[in-house]
Amino acid sequence: MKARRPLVRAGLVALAAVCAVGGALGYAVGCGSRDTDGQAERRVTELPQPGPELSEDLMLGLALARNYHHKADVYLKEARFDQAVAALRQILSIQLPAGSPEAPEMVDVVQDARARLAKLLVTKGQLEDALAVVDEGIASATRQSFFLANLHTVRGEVLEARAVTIEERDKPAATVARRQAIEAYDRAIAIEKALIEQLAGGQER
Amino acid sequence: MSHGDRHRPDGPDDRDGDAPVTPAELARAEAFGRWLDGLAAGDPLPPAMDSDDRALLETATMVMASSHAVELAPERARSLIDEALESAVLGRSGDADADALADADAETDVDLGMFAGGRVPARRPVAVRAVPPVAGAGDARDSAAASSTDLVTVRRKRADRVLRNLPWAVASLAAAAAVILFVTRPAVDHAARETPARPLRLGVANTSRPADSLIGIIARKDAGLASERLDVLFADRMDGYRDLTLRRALGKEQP
Repeated sequence: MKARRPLVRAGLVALAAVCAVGGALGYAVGCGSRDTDGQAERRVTELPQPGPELSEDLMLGLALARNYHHKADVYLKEARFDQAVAALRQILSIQLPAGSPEAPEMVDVVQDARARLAKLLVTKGQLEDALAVVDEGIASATRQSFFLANLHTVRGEVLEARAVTIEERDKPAATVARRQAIEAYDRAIAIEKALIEQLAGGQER
Repeated sequence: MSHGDRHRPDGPDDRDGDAPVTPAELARAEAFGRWLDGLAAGDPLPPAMDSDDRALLETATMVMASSHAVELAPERARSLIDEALESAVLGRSGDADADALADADAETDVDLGMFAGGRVPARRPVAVRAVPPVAGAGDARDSAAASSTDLVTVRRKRADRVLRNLPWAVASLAAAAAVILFVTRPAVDHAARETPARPLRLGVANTSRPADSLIGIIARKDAGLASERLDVLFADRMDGYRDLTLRRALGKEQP
């Protein structure tokens, strides 16, 4: 009986050592896996530090804009132009509740809605209204984005359409409009180039 | 009965008061003294006796009873004390005490009757009170005679009373405890009871951010396809928002 006691004691010590080593290894592996997961989730083109979390207000705003777009789609399929324009103008007036953090994607959505609305007005010959919608969007922009570049592109289209419209009765004005259209396209291209470089460098704006 | 009522040819009335005592008178006085001592000691009267001597003995007995304090028998005295203690402990009614007192009076009368030789004439008040007591009093006397048994009875009655009142006492204590606990109950902090909101680890997908990386360059021919782009954007943001909401609802969060 006494001879077995040292063996039992040695077994317990060995078991404790194994448990300690296993726990340390598990902790180290767990920490490493967490770090690896965190790097895997991070996209190259996304911001290094997270911004404000997605809120219910933002999701409701996005859902509302989406529904207005679908509503306009239905109106356009029925050739109800004015109703479609009215539905798209509703998107421009969407505002998040006061106190909500600024949502960049909501700004993008509104600018994109302006672009669609302007193109729709162009198809109906309402060039001045289309230009006003586009210019308002460009003036309210606070950052460079593909959606702002798209607005410049649409502005160029509007000016191009104006030039075509006034070509016969006012050729100099048409020439000016074409130059402005080119400038708008150039701005769009400049924005897109800058953004592409930023995204390629891992920086998202 | 006076000394002059007696009619004895050799009585004191027939002689001079200063005349010397005759041997017969002395013998008669000694016999009378022995009877009187015997009565005081509890001996019965002689079966045959002169009526004058019997009347004289009764008179002497009454004089002795009135001139000496009546002492109850030790057994009877102990039983009366037990009854009084029982009444005091159990709170018996005054009737029981009155009965006990009546028993004591009757016992006293009986004792007096014993002093009178056990055959007390009915014309005397003492004899009237010496009539056998009522049955209840007799039972009480019998039960009180056994002092040790009475102590057991007292204990048993006390235990019965305790057992009878025990449910009410327990119910009263429970009600009092319930009231006290209700009044002194701690205020429930619902906010603290809720699962503490652990800080969520926000991934990039869970944050609000520009849609440029998702949409990319917008081609000129797609400039008016805002509805399709919004569908893509909404699906992406809903993915991150749903993940955030579910993680927060389940309370599972990585440390």
